[in-house]
Amino acid sequence: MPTSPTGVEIQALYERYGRAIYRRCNYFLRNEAQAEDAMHDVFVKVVESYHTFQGQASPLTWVVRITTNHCLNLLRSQRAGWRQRFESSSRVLDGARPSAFAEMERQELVRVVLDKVDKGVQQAAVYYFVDEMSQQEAADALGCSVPTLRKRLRSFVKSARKHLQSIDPDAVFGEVRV
Amino acid sequence: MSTSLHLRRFTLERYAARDLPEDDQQTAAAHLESCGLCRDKLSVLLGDIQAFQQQVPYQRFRVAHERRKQPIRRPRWSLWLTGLTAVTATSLALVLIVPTEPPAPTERLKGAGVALGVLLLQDGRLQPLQPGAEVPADATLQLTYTGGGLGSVALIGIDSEGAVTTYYPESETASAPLPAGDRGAFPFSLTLDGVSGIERFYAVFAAQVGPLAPVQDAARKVATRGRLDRATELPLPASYHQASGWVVKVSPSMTQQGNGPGVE
Repeated sequence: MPTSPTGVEIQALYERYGRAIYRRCNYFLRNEAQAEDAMHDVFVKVVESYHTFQGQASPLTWVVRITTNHCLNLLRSQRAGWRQRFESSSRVLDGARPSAFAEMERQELVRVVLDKVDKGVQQAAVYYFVDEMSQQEAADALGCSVPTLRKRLRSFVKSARKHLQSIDPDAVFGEVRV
Repeated sequence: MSTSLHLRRFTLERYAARDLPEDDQQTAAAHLESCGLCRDKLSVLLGDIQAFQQQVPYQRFRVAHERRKQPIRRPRWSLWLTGLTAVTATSLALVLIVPTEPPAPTERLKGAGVALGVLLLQDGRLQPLQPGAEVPADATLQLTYTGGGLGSVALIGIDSEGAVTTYYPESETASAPLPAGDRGAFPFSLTLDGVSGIERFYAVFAAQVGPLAPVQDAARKVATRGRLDRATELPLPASYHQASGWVVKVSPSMTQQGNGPGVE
């Protein structure tokens, strides 16, 4: 029978994983109040699924997966806000020096392109390029094989290059091995 | 896990959370011993974790969570309507606001969205208390506030023996600026003094930091009148906004199992 965590266990979970959840919520939502609300929702899900959580080989990977899904769904449900946010990011890039992309944090670059791809590819890109999971960890988080993960990552890179080149036709990209 | 390359960010996160398998944990530790760059990254990560725990402490999460779990309660109109002749536009606005944002059960509200929460700290857990809940006379409480966008706060207590205590700020001479974020826990837990009877807490908010003397004087007036169970407000000008909560302190031998409902 599933067990519920005690108050002490919940506090320990929060102190161990709260920051990881919050950081990711903030990455997606770019608003501290919304990130805190989202973290709250995610943490409730974690607590409610505590029996599942206990069986995880990597609880952090499991928590990150729940967080990423939650935030992507949130952004999807406010599609206009998502689009507006990323278009404004793109506008910042308009007229930027050709080297601007190279100087951008990789995480930011991924964010700019996220809404150009479908959810499975989004998740793969976030796990691998933003969270810096290994391919095996990212595949585990996605519940797919490593070759499938690579396929999604290549799809993401292709979409990202296409989009960035539409902003800066002279952009030059290095090799990305995935 | 390869040690020929630097540790990935996620590996460092797993390392910090002790989430790696034991072998990998040791491998990462060995790498960290020899790699200054990864040690620096880990330091930054640990600093982030510490900052998070200060910025969004567990108690804040816990209070927010308990509030979300509360069923929507209708305000007690009979109480709110007492003294209706003095109703102002401000208090009308409050009545309109209350149903959409119900207060936590320990709150008494006066003013634009200010609130005071009283929680019992017991066995490492925080438990929200109903108004008038019985607690051991030496219990430890955590008090929380919602500032309603105001700029300063002070916390005053009055016990059944008429003692007025300024709990916050420690200087006792002027109110304290409200930290950013508007909601939070007072920066201390409060261990009661063992005196049985009612103790009521008043969180008094104002637009700006100001002297505490008027608030302390008002508290002394209430203390001399007694009837703390009904003294929801301090006699202060409308520029102050107040929220209060109260507990009944009982000696351990009289403490009932759990915390009884309020006597209101």
